[in-house]
Amino acid sequence: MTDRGWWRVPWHRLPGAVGPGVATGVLLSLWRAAAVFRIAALAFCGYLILRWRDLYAEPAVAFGVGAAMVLVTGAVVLVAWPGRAHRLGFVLADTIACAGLTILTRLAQQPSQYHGSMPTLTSIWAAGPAIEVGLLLGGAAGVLAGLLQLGASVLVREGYDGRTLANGVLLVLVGGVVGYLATAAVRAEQERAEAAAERARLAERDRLTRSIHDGVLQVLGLVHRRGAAAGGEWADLAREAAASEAALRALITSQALAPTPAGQRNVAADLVTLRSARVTVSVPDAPVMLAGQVADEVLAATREAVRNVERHAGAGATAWVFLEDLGDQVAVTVRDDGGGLRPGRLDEAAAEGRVGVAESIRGRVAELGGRVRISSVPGEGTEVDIVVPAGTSRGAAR
Amino acid sequence: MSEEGAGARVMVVDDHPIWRRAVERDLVEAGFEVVACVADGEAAVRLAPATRPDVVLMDLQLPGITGVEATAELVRADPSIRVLMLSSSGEDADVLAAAKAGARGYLVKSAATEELIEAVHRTAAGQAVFSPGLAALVLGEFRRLAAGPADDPARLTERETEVLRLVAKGLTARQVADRLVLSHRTVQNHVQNTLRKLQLHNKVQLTRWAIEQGMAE
Repeated sequence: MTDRGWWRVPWHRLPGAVGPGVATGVLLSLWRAAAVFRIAALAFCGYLILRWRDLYAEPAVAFGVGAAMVLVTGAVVLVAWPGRAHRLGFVLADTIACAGLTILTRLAQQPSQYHGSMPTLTSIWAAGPAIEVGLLLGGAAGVLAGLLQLGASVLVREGYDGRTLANGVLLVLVGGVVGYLATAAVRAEQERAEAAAERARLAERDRLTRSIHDGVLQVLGLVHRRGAAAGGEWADLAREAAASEAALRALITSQALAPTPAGQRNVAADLVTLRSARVTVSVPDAPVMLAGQVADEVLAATREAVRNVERHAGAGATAWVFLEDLGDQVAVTVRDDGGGLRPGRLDEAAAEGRVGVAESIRGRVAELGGRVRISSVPGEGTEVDIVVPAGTSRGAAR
Repeated sequence: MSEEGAGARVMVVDDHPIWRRAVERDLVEAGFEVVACVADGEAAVRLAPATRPDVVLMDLQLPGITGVEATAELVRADPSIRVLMLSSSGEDADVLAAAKAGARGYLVKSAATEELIEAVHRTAAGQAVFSPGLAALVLGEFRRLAAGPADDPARLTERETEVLRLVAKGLTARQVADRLVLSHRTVQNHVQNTLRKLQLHNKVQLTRWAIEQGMAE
């Protein structure tokens, strides 16, 4: 059996389907259980054929069908046990073979037996393909496969009585239930594996963070401190070390960002990613929750203000970012110790078409229903105060 | 630089040997008496009664008991001991916990040597050493408390809130004093009061909890 050919349609994309390939994990155990069922069902069918061997119109056909069932069962067990039966070609062949053997009952039995108490030669063994289709493609396909086998026995009996129908319905249910359970089990297994991988990832991240924290960061901090005192070339090295330390620290902190429920985000965790050698970010310990979009805009506006400090406040200027939760509002202040602005400087910049602070920050914040106040004292730096409404449904902020 | 608290007895608690040595040398050069240099919180708690430091420079990230627990234990054993926290930025929860437990100030570990020396001087002189980060944490904590039960006595005055906000925005105590037209001393007192209120509140909470536990038995 091969999985190449015209049937290589994307079955695995269908809802409830588990996809072709090699079965592993919980799916493999289910396939082995299906193989055991086939052996047990074969033993039952063999017993019936032997018991009624004198009653058949053509015992040779009955024995021939029995021998074919042994061969098919053997093939199923051999292929399914190592998990190689989980492919469309194999399951399709088994389905067709099984339906064909069921129909051959017509040649073996007397016409009176079609309508009587005698089951088809394949009887419960015919539930095998419905189970397999269920395993491979999910509940809906399992039901279809069950219906196909029911159709084969209806063909044999030229109609259906209560018993055929009852057996058929059971067959259909088996296909559906097995398919549903297989899909659910595989999904549960996947989720468990993903959860385990996530735990391992978090543990690894914590380990890395700890080791960076205890090692590299301490040394960089020390170089920064001692180098600055030594002066000259060493002071440059100290500045480099400080910048690396801040960048590494920001990286570690941003790694710790956790998703929060209901589309809200802790804007404090966003803002601390702006920390660097020249940018101090001070935030409360409790999370400051804002709707994701609002948090995006606040972060963007703050980043713009910080960048503006780096660009315009002069070399060596330091920026302080301060986030405060005011309950129904959230305030962010970006202050620098640079030269400050001449009065009207911002309006001039905007008039000259040089966006930046005025346009970008004011625009972003106004759209959130907030306000921006920019104040500056020449020689004492500039302060950008951003206040946005916190929104109505706030989570863990209080 | 303030020369208050010169010659004070200092204990250094840091698990990083290079750091410990560097800080010790800086402190000795600045005229402090370094009475102990230890690598963990247990040793700090064990040696404090014998060495009687005025100031403990406490790294918050320690092996064994945490810097927060060590701070609480040191202050419990000797309420006059002045713990100056040293930590990396980004350990906000620890800084807040240590401040509640009785630490007198906080300095980021990347601070320059002069800043460190100055901070130890001020701590030894009984002043609170506030960074913008600590101011934001304390403001946030009082906001959290304000949302709690109404009979809670932990409230900041408007002036205290104003002072903390300016500190959080990066202004020095001197600049805060200028802007609010207050004396430097008054600003210092306001800052110290906020920390004292927080610690008092914490103590009241702990006592209340202990009483409730006792009554439940």
